[in-house]
Amino acid sequence: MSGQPPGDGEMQEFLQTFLDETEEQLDDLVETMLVLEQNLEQPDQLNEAFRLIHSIKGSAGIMGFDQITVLTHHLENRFEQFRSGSERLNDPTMNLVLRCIDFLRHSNARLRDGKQLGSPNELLAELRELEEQQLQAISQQGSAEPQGSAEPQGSAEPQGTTEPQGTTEPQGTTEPEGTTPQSEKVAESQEATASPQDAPQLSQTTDGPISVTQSSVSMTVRFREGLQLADLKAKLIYNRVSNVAEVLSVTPNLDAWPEDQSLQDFQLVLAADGDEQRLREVSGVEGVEAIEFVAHPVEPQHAAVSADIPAPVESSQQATATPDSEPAVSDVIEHGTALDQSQPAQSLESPLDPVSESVPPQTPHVDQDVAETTPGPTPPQVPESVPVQAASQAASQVASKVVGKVAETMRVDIDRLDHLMNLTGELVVNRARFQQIANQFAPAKRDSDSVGQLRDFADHLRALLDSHDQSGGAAKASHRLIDQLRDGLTVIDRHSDAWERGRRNLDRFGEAVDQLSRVSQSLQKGVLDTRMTPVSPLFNRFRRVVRDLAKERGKQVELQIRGEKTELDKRMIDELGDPLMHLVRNSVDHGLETTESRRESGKPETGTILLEASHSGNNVFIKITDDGAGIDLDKIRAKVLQRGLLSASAINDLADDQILDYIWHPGFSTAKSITDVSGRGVGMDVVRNRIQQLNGSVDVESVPHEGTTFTIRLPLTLAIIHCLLVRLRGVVFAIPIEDVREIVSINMADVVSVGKKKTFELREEFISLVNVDHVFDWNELPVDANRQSLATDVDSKQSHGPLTDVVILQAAGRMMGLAVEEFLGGQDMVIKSLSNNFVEIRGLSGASILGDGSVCLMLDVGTAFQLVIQRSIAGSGKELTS
Amino acid sequence: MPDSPEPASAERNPATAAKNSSQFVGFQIAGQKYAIPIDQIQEIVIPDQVTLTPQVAACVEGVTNLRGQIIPVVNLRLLLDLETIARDDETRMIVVNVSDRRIGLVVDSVSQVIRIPFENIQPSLDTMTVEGNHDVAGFAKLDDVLFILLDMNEMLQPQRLTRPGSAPVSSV
Repeated sequence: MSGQPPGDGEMQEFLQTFLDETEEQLDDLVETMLVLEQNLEQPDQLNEAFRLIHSIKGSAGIMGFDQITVLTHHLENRFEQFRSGSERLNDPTMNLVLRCIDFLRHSNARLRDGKQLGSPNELLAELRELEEQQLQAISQQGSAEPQGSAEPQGSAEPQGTTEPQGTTEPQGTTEPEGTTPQSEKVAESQEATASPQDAPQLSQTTDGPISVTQSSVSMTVRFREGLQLADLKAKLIYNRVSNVAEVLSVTPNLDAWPEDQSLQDFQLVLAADGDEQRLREVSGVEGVEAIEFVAHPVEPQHAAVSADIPAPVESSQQATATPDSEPAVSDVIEHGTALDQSQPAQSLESPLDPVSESVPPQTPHVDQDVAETTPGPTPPQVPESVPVQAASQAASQVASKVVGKVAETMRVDIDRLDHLMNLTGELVVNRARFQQIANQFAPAKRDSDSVGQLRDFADHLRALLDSHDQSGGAAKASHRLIDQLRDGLTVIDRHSDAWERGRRNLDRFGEAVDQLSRVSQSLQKGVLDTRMTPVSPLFNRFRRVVRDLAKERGKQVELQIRGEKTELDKRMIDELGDPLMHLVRNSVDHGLETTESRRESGKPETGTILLEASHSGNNVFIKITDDGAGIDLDKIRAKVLQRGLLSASAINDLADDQILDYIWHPGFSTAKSITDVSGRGVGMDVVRNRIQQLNGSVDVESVPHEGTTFTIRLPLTLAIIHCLLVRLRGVVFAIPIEDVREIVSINMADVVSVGKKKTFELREEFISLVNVDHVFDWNELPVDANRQSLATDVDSKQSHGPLTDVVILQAAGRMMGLAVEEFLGGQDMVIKSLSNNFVEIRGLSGASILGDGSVCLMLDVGTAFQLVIQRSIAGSGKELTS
Repeated sequence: MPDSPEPASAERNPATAAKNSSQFVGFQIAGQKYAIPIDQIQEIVIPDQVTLTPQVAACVEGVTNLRGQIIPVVNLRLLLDLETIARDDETRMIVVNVSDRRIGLVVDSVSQVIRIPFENIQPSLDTMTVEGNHDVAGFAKLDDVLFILLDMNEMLQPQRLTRPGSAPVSSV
């Protein structure tokens, strides 16, 4: 019975479950504590905290982790006092409890690593000390309040009147369900009879009228006739529009658009909040002839969709409905009269008593305990347990938390999901290969005439031979020739029959490939969906971080969280923790001013940090906004000069946003003093690198005295990226579509040469033009000399043809035109690592396999920009020395 | 398409040979015979399409797709500082496993699997280095034919596959 982690396999399995569960419970506990911190006397929250501590204690007891059991037992006793009202939760206790939670977390980490548990004795001693202090304080106050008396709000939440066993034997009956009889019964019975589906109805009636007033704008984009790659351009426009406005629908479906048909126009339905001028700006790419806007009110269903947070999959119906229906439930509890007015509640009145009596008080928490300690899936929806579940759901609603847990779920090892994801990736590659093969058969399929002609020819020949036979009098030699010809004819007949059969089989093959690609597309989507989890656990972690840091810095900070239901790939959420942590800490530490200076500048003393997630197109955006002083550009300028990164005149030439860009520079920090949190200057470039590794980007906007906003853009998933395929120097490159601003054909006569550098003008904007040799250094391979001739050369093109295809790349606010040999269309690509068997190549984010089985290289646009700059500097250096 | 090499000619009395010898795959470059230990070899294939890669050492032709895996293709002629020749029917790619990585080696031709008794192997000379690398593990004589034994771990170190000076740098 020491803190030794269990050794054998079975225990190991239980340990995993124990750790997963306690971690969730600890997260919930921290959240509860933080709610409590706002107001120390919230009976429901105290109950929740008690319940959580109790279940951790129970599980730890089963596992035999004495250190955890002892500590949680003590905590449990304390909370028993708090919730019974005999003692009050105070700030020192609060801090101590949070430290205890840290200890428990730490213990979990040690258990994971298979290490010995630490001793909680110090914390226990402190707990006892605080307890004694409090008891003394109470006895000094006099005996006005006897122990166990009802607490102030006793009428609403009568848990003060604990059942006798409650205080003596905590394990058995102190579950909140057992001790909050009245409120429980009401909520329970309502949930029990009103089936879960009723809840959304309730919420809909409140949502409905508001959304009718919403309208939408439809935006029609018309392309020039016969425009190449119009569907790709349409997708680009869609991506860009969805970055500035909320797109409700797209017609036609661009993903399913057949490659060989040309797209004339397409329509986007937008939420009405889009700025028309801005929309025109972002969608005005080359080849667009006209953009029309038509505003019209939209049907309620549409508006309802737009009013929702556009998360792709809701974990359950209840989950969406709970926040809306929850106030209704608590209303019902607090004002009994409300019951009579609401329709579903009316029907509940009579079955109220029978239901609550039919469920013995012991059953709920027994089942609950089982639910919380069984390894693997959460309890299935067994009929008998429905009221119990409903009851616990109601209880959690009353406690205004723990939403969405009722959905049937199952824990799955993330590695298995990764494996599944990789397999799906392979399938996607194979699908592309099949489609390519099927397309290559297309000419043969279409060529039905040749078989007919062959048959005609054979028939004609046969007729000739027959007539020759009839005319008779042929020499022996010609008889032999005729026999040979007849043999030849049978062979032709046989072959044309086989050909005909083959053609029919090709048709069937084509259908099978179509079917396969449909299924694999759904599979791909399905697998992606399983990996999507809401960002709320990630976001909620920051409540504690912000609270601790604000206390430490003596600042008053409020953290607001929005859009926490937005979903993101699990791996991505795991990877985001550190960069987000850095940005949030930065906002508290550097972004927000001290309370005094906020007061002086007439701002509210409490600073606000907004953590917001939203979903738009194929991207998820995460914004961290503070209402602090903004980033001081002069400080950055001074720093750039001090570090010798630029000369004084060069600094003066830079625009404000270019100066702002320097915060991402390695070893850069404007903080005067180095703190343990931020200010070491290692942070921001690491943040940017991390996010770029996730194929995302991060931008900063800052308004002096108003605050700073960091915007992180992430793709929905890591595994599959929609890319534009181009041929450069005979090699196929894939460029993530998010990094492509536009595809244009430019006249080489319009290219302006500045020394060796070239630029061209596009809609009154000058963009530098490079070719792939400006980005990369290639080996001269004498083996296949013909490859060399394929190289795109901006200079040689000038003499050959007037038009050059250029893809305009964008990264971190910069733009660059890259001359390409050929556009090969768009495709979903599965990134494969180059470094697994090879080495990392700077400027490439990986490679992928094309339909024909050959390898294409994935361009890392951000680094490509750096390479161009580096190589142009190095190039000019060489010129000087030579 | 795996190209199964002919059975070894040197295997005269296998029972004793197994104890005092080890197996190698022999191949030819520019008329010279070389050998690599057979346990380092994954398979031998006819080279498929190779995609050129930028920023790599001159001996790297590019990357290719080996059943869904992306592996680098190294031209052994270039690695040994010899003139390259055009591919022909004899050209083979030997896929070797070098410390968790899988790499394709393009050679002129693959001759056979050979069993070399330990007593026939002579350690390499200190003077036999290519640019200071100990690529040659030793020499072996078999029926008066000289085989040069190559040390793949030494030859295919990651830093020798990247272009000198173009290794990823963290600062701009």
